Amino acid sequence: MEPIELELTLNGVTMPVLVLWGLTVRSKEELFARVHEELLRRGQVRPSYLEGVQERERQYPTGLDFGDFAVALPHVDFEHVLRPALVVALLSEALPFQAMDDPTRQHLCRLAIFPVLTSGDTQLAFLQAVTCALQQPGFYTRLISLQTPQEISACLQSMLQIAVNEG
Amino acid sequence: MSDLRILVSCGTGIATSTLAADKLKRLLKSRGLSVTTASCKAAEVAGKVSTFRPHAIVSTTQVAVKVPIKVFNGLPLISGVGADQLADEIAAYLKTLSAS
Repeated sequence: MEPIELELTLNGVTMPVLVLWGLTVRSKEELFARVHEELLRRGQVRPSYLEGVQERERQYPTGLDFGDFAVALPHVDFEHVLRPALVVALLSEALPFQAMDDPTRQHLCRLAIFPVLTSGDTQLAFLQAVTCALQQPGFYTRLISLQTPQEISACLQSMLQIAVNEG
Repeated sequence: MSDLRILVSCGTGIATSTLAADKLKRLLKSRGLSVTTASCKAAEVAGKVSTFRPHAIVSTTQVAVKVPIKVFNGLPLISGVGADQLADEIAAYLKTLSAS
């Protein structure tokens, strides 16, 4: 599927979202390179993003276990980012990510969500919305089963609603 | 005991630690505890211990340094898996501090 661009608005803040659905990548390095390429082309990040996200994942891995599934949340320091965005990548095959709380363990992740942020505060609400929605029974399974840009967009919009109701 | 302080750390001290601190404050409030939190990078924990003087540390990443303060794994606050149990443990721990 071609990359999908959409916008999410939460508490008056609008966040561009780039959806890369059904990516076929064989390694984290390849995944990061693809995300970097897409972000760089859209002027969202500096050329240093790639090394920044790789180094950050090495130092502070982001594989996060939600019980029935795991999701990677590769972070990057603000200095590599020009304009904030959220990248939602669904991989056709799961990749191992080291666990956030224990680098000696790995979690297989098919979903990787990249918070590409320029500051904390208001932008963090989107990361919060993501982690909150992923805690809802059935949300992850529903999300990864979606096949059309319309469905994916609607599901991500509904994700914000979950966060607002929970918050 | 009033003024219970919890240091929340993560990789950069910005993203996951902020989410974890928000969630923790809400969960502890519902257990009758009001706490003050500060966020920091995992690498800054030792320094923050001496300035912020926390009663407990909650970290979403491994804390490499040895500190004389109890450290809780804060990941359940992000994933939701075991979050209530963690809040129970932290609340019980804080209550033992205030009892002594």
